[in-house]
Amino acid sequence: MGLKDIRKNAIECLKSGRVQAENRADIKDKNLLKTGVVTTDIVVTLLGATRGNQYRTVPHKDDPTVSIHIFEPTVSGENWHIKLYFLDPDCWFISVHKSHVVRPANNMNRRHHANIQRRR
Amino acid sequence: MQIYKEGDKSKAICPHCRKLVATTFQVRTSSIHDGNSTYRVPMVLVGVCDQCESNITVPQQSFAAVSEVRKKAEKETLDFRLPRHLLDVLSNSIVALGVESSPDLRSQLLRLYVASFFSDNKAQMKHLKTNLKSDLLVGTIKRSSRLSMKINSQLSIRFEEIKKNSGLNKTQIIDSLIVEVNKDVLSDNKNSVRLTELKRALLATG
Repeated sequence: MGLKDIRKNAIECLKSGRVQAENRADIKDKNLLKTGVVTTDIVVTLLGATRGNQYRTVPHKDDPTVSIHIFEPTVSGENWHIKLYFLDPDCWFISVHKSHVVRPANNMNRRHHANIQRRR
Repeated sequence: MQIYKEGDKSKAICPHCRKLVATTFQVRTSSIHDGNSTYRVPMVLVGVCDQCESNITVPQQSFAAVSEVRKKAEKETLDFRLPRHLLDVLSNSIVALGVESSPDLRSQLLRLYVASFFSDNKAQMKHLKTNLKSDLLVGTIKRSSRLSMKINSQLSIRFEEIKKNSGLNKTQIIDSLIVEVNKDVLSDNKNSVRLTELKRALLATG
């Protein structure tokens, strides 16, 4: 499954209340969804704004058969980090927070620079 | 919306057992971890690992309960030194509104005024400055009394924006707001619409 299907599943889970958040003291990840700082609507917007180059998967370290999906969209100039996985029928959110990591230029910028190069 | 009940079953990857486990939803007073913060949430539905009995998940329906506890924990206290007569303006305004005065209601009245000022409203920001020329603030003022006001994060942001856009410091803002209370409630030209709103809000709080 690619970004589109994963995003569709995650949004369906958010809208139908089939979301659980991990609760662990050993990891300092922030989950603004769990603490009500951001709403499900905001998370839906963030997932919707994620482009192909802002999405990746890694295996879960405790169960490598489960894929962790990482969304890193930039919305209104702010970088976000969302980490989730699925255990049918629910979706588990590990983290939802703003990211302070400086990211390389996004797709649009790359396309813009490629066009300039081509014109030259 | 999917609503889980106490005793319902689910599954999760347990960080203690380090594998996929069955979980049972239980109502517990739980420590909810988030980054460097931990919130003690009373009697909330959480997912408990069937093997190690740890609380390992929080279902979506419990996010609102966690949010309530977080908001309470995040309340900030602002302290002000005020001349006694400004505190008297607040107390007498509350009495004039037909409610019994108390320190809690004094800060509640001020919170209502902070909430009614918008930092992007230039006329209101100018008005705050004009209030500082009031007779109540003229002359040598001895700031011998204290007022503590607890505000939530949203109101704290509003207060900071008012500070920035009006160019006043926090004490000047509070002075100005008390002058405004005096005008609305105790002066001869009472603001009757405001009075009704305030009376309702204070009655609901008091």
